[in-house]
Amino acid sequence: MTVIQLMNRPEWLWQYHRAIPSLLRAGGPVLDEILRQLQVHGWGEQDIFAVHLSLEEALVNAIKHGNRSDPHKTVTIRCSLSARKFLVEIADQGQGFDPNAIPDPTDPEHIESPTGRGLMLMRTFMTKVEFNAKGNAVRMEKEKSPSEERTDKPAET
Amino acid sequence: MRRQPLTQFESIAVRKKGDVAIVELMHPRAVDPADVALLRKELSALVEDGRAAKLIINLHRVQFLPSAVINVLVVMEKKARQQGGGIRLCRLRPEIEEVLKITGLDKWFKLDVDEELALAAWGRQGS
Repeated sequence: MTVIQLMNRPEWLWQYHRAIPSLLRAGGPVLDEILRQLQVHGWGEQDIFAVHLSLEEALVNAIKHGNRSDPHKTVTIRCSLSARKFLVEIADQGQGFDPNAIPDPTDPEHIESPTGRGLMLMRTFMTKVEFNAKGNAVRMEKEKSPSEERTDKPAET
Repeated sequence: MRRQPLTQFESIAVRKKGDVAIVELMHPRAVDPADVALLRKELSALVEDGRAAKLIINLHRVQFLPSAVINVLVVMEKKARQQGGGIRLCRLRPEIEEVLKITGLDKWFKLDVDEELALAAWGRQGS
């Protein structure tokens, strides 16, 4: 299923699309709005922390490593939020990279390397993380954790 | 080069207790590259000129630890270790501790509950 097909599904309660210049401070308001919407739609603190950390890392990757902070290039953020799922795609205009070529940052040989930790955190905190073939767009999904489900729904019989 | 007085740092607050420097990170969420660069510069000023090799970094203010800040701490730990010391981290929020565990750095750094226990641990290691 393509991102556009996914974004067009009817269950989304809130959708958002922005293109920002390659400046890290430009990502702040976008991030703030996404986190606010997660709160408004009843998502819990742990899930919001997970999305927050993953978005920060993905935005830094796109702006600094993807677009190399080139102010003529933009980063596009598209996201959709349902009662149980958050979906986001962050795309830059850089050359892309091969995520499978990034060394394991927990390997003692690479522990001092500055690369790989952000990607590892994204993969751990999100339910699913995928890159396009070029490696300049990441799609991340987060399913609401069962522990953060509201308990006021009717019991199943 | 003129030494920056311990009281003139912005991103960190430093106190000395014997030969141990107790450092508080002041920014709850240093995500802006300028904040990260300042932190790197100030910790370097502390470690690289030999003023402090044994450090305790108190993270009680830190709500958010992005990989850029983790990278700074990893580099500083190595520099401190090369000078016969190292970095002990204390007062971590559970989610920060989880971030360090995920990235395998809970073994790279020494983690303590609070400053008192971190100081006692430095005391046991001797000089």
